[in-house]
Amino acid sequence: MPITVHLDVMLARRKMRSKELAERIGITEANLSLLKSGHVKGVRFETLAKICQVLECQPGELLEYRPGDDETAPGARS
Amino acid sequence: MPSERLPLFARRCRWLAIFATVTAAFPVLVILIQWMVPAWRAGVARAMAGFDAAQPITLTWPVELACVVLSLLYLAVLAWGLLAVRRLCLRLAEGRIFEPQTGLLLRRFGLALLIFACADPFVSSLIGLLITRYNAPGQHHFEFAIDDSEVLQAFVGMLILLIGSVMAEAARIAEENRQII
Repeated sequence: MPITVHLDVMLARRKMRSKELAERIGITEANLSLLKSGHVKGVRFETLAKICQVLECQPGELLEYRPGDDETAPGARS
Repeated sequence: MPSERLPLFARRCRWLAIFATVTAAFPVLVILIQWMVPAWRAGVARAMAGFDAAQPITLTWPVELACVVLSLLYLAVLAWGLLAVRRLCLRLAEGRIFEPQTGLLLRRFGLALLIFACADPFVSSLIGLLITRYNAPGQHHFEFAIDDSEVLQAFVGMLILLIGSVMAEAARIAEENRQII
């Protein structure tokens, strides 16, 4: 998956536990764990907005695009 | 489904599972018992071929064996479908309602019903041919008939097949959506 989730980094910066974040944004700890590890098919904007609100950050600080294993960037030369 | 209705739904599913099992097994047992009693064999053969009592037939043991095998194969198709219904009902009773397997089991029943309906006229004709094969010349009988109940059965089978396919696809999409946090 070329999208990397840096949620654990942001949680460490804000000194917040996963459990607290999960409770505040209204998702289960299991789902939050899946999100942290990137083992999800997608994230709703609503969930992303709540995470950004609680962690006081921007989506770009949580998500990073890396054209790595699965695909190459458009226009990239081989 | 409202949570207060779930126990009633589960109970109904379990009863339907029992009914499906009995319906799968009962015709097979009846056929076997009927063929085991010599006095009943001619009547069973006529009934399966759709003949009346006046129609002469000749039953030899190879003919009887062929008729038993044919009728059991035919009933096995329906039993296969009904056992899928049993599995489906037990899964529903456990609350496993909107899963891809639900649609697949429904598809299986629809397919069984369709095959059963389409095979019926062929099985009857074949049994009719078999039981008059050794009749005197001029008394062989071949008949091929499709009646409206078979057409309706085939239609219902196709409909259930379609609904099962739609459900399986919908459950697959729902499963994918569950992975969107």
